[in-house]
Amino acid sequence: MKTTSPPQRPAAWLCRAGLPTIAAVLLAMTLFAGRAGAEVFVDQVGRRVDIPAPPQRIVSLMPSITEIVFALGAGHRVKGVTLYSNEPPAAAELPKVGSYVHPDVEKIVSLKPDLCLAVRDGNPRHIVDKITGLGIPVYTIDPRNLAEIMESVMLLAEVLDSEERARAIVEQIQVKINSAAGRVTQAATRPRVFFQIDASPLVSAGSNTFIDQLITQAGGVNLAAGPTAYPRYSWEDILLMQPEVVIIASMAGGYSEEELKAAWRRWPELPAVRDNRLYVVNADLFDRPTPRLADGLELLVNIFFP
Amino acid sequence: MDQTFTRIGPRLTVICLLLGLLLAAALLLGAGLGSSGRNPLAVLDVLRHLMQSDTTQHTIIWKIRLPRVLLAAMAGATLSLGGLVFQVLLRNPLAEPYILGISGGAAVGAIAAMLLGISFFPGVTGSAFAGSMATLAIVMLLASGPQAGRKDSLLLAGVMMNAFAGAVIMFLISMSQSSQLHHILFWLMGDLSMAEAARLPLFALILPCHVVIFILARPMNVLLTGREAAASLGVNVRKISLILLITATLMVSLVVCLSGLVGFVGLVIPHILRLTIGPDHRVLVPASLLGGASYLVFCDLLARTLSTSGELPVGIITAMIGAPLFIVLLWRSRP
Amino acid sequence: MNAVTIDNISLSYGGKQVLDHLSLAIDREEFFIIIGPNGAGKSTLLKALTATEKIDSGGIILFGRPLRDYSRRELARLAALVPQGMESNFPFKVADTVLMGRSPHLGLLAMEQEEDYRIALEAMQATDTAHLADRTLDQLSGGERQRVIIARAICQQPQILFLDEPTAALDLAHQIRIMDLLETLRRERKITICMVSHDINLAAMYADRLLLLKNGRVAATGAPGMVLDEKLLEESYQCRLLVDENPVSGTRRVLPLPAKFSQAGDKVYPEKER
Repeated sequence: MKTTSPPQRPAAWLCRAGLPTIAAVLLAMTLFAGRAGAEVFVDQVGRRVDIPAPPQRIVSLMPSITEIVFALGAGHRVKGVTLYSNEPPAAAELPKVGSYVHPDVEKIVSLKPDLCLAVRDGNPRHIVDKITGLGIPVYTIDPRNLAEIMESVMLLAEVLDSEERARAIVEQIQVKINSAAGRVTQAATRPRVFFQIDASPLVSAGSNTFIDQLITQAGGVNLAAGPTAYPRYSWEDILLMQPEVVIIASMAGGYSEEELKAAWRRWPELPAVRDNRLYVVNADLFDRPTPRLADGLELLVNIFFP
Repeated sequence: MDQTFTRIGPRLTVICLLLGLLLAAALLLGAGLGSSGRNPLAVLDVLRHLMQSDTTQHTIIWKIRLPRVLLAAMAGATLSLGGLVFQVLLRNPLAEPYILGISGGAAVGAIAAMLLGISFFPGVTGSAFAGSMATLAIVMLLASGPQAGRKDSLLLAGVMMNAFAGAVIMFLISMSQSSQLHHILFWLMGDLSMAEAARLPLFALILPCHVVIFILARPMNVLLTGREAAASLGVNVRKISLILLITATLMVSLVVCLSGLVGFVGLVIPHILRLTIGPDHRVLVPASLLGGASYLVFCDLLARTLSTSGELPVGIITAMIGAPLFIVLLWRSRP
Repeated sequence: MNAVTIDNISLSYGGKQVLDHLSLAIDREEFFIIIGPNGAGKSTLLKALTATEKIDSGGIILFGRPLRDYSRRELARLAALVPQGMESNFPFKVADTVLMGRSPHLGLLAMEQEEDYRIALEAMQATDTAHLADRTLDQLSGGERQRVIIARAICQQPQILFLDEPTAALDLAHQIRIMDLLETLRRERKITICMVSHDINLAAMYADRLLLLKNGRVAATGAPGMVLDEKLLEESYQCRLLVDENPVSGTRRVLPLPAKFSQAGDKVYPEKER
């Protein structure tokens, strides 16, 4: 089998080196456009992966990846997905290979994939190793912020050979980021925000999470910022924090929208309750590393600066 | 030949043959069926695919199902034998292989390693093994003290070890994040999906333990009649008890670190066999090995194939089938 | 050669001297019964003799060889113990329980041979338990169970049989039946019998020699007629007794007297130990 070998992916290198600029990515894309046969790629965690170009039978090990692959127009090449791959609706019809933490390797192998796509922060390392050990290439992405999501989209587009679509997606994200940035600079104050992702116990998102980045990028102050990724709070803590805006992830703790809001309305001394700034939002827009995070950003900006 | 006495020779042969056939059937079904194929006729394909390589079916059978089926068989055999040994050692029919705190120690080790994000093998496996060996050391300390081998002090020590470990486990779980939680829960309920051909050589450490226990089958019978009685029948109670304790703990720990806490096999299989073939350990030991192996292979097959949206933890199946089966047998054995 | 020679043995538990420089000898084919008040050290002596309890000092010689030189298996082929009741957590058949008596004669992986089955069957016939063969231990009455345990002991083909209160908790008929059985075994099989008993009257009728133990020491030893002295017994047991002669056997007969009759005599024993 003929193998071309451009093992150094400038895109990955530059972005990891602290220059996650979309310009660099686009430049890299144009330099390495056009190829055939199998190729060696280096994925976002630095593994070398042999991938037939372009792959025709893909198993996605994460709902977010399914979403991206469909957005890139390669949905017809996806032959298996993990549970809860509900976006777009067509993805939900595909064969299921178990949950992303505990996928059914036999099922994966039986789908005869020529590529599996994984996310470092969700798929356990030993599962990835096992699939790789069975001779199936696994390409892993590891996005940690919006810029890196754009990078992931571009990298996946390279692998899937659909750079056109990727560029459009990335441009759209960039437009949303720019518009958000514009509105934030005009704003006079920065609201103090409590983002509730779970009820009983009350859980929020600390620094180094997508939620924290989105709140900050949308011009808010994340009250839960701190080293703990998903800190817990008591109502006592909340009363001391005095949040001005409360964002509640839908279905948190399995409660309905009204129940979730009612729990907050017991505390009229909170500015957010007094000013009626309690908002229930679609959780998928905030915890999945997909281009939809930009929609989440847009939504937050609209809430913070109406 | 009169029937006054239970003749062990012929009985052993017949029962081993029957259970051996059962195990063979279980292994064949286990290797033949899975989430990617629920057609029982696929079993025949196993044989057809013996020679061909490079097909998907070949990979599935040889690299995914076979290591898993073998791990299930080894885990089932070892846990069931472990339960049998602890029932003798503690002279308590409620004893099971985890009773002396092996499970708690192993779980603390495994979960700690998972939270630290160490690789499954050898990280989590090694840490689980270290945890259970630490437990063994503590239990041994108690067993060699002035209370030497008194069954109740051992039992109480084990219950306390498990309770303490349970608190540590709950603490670790409450500290963990949801993605790790799912993984931890699977481990706690028994997870055979970690089977890998490269780890099968570890079985070489487990098999000698089975042999040691089989050799001690007659003293085990005698031990059941009490310490003093056993001593007067020529059994060195202390020595035999210590050998059984160490051997059983060692083999159960080795299995647990590869398969997680598969529950119920070790409690129910020895009981079911005792109810059906009598209490003589010279028959019960090999029967527990073969019966436990077959049972776990069947349960794992169900765990893999019952649900179309991913597999179930095998511990759920072992208890769901085992408990009712045991109750029915107990009911029917009433005089 | 004596069956057992005990030379100046001592044993203490947690500071309490249970056996205190005790010496004595048991002859071959003797029916030897150890009596004494609670806490005198009877059971401990039996444990020392069966090597289940280690002595602190002194020596025990069993059939001409120091006890500590025997391996467990060797000892089990020479001496059998009938403990005070046996656990039966798991349902072994009576026949298979008796057959366990052969285990000191068999290697770890050896199967029982026809000879072993014959010996076990014969032991069951001798103890009148053959008809119980298919039952399990927990389905037996106290007397039946005791005979099964004796059958297992005989199955060991021992030269000496140690028994720990074999007649306790049995009704009168069964007490006599067990004692007659032991007497027969002694006579027909030349087995030395050494038992601990609380029943002084039974002991008086069967024993060749009695040992009266008190505070881990020999209070008296010898023929029942000598040991069962009213004064000696009253001092040992610290209670008022009636000692007279059994008109049938001609042996001594001992009856404890309630406190309300204690004033009748000229001696009053206060309710205190020493």
